[in-house]
Amino acid sequence: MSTDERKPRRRVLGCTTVLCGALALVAVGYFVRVPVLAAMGMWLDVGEEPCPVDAVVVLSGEPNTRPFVAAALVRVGLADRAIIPQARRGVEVIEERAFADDYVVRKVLLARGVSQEKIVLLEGANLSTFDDARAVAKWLAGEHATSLAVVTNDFHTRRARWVFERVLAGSPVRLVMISAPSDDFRPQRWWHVASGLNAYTSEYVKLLAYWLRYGNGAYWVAAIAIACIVATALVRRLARKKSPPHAV
Amino acid sequence: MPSSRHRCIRRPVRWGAVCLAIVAISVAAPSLLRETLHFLVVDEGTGPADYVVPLGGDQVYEQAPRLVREKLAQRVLLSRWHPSRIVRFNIIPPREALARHRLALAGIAAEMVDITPRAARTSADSLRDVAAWLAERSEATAIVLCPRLEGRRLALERDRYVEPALAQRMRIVAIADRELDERCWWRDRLSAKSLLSAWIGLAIEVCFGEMHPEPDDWDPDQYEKSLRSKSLHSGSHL
Repeated sequence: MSTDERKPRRRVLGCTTVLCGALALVAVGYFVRVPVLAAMGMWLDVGEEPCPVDAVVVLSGEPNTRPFVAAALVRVGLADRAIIPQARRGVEVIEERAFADDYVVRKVLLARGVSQEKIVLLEGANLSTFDDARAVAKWLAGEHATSLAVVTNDFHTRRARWVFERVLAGSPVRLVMISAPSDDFRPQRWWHVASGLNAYTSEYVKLLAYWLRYGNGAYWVAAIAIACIVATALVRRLARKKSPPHAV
Repeated sequence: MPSSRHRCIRRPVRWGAVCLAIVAISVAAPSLLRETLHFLVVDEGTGPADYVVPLGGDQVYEQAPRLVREKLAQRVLLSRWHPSRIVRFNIIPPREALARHRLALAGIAAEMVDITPRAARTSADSLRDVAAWLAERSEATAIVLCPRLEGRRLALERDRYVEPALAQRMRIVAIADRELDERCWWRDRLSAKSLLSAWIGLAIEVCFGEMHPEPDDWDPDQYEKSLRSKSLHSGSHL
């Protein structure tokens, strides 16, 4: 059989192998989905055991659990002050048609027995966790705080820690991440609930975006792309060398 | 078999095609990106209906009264919502109370407002409650006002979970959002975030259908108690 006749057969064989491999991967993925998804959920949660700190930061976003956890830390005596970084106020809030996050958090803290003088509002118009971290870093510069707890939802702790560590790099502040639960879903079975699926999928997308934009993800992607191009060129060159010269 | 001469001719052609494709994609990109947003927007028309249901969206409690004033709807129907923890702890008033207050400010008399009896935890529950309300009133129709990017998902949920005869009596209208940059959403962080979340929500609905939330039974008092006992055991400063 000539090389020309063998080529389409080889291509079909290659495609079949790739297809079978993909199907096998899907099948394996289906059988191990529960432990894998649970592990993915747990991986995002880097929350630690609460310990005494100078201040606890309540990140805006989920007023149903985060401020309650922060209030408990202050009331138990594990934190001296509660810090609220102010999020950007949307049109609805400006027009007094909705409650601002910082207003709700403050009200929860007061309702749970945290005294007014222990609450610090960091005024601003934060749009992201990065903005929150920068506001906290600015506040820390004028304080003598050496330890800080950050309260956020369990699935958000990894990204929040990454951001705070970057912003507070070089400062002697000890950082403790505290996980607050989510009302609609649990980290062990987040994929059973639509809001959990949405939260965890978005979180992974955001982590990827942060890694590419603020981390060294872009270098990694570029390096992998260059490696792929070089490998393809090498393989093609080798294949050309192997095949007999064509008649002109 | 292509000769080396053929190959030499084919290579520039191939590169030309690649360049052409890149140019075509970059020219068409803004419209394609815009289309990813417009696909999510559903407007089934605000023709005359018996009820207007303000489910959500920017200025929804101004849009609903406008429809009543323009005689496009007779009454306002509110969907009762499961009270969240901050409502149960009296931090903020329930959504229905806020809605009634804002409707009153917009000139809607209290007797023109109805409310579904069951508390919903998901948008599918709300749609089912509205459908049940319509089922009790023969031939009654409703306009459901929803957030700009939720229209496609809600339309899908209505078609999936509501009886077809009742679904035909509900029209979904996604109302405009002043904070959403529909022309260049990819340049605005908030718009991009909203779009991502809306697409994920739609994909989840398409792939998995309805998924019920877990009971929100986390107890802050219990949490505080456990913290206190842990602190006592570890000898922390109390």
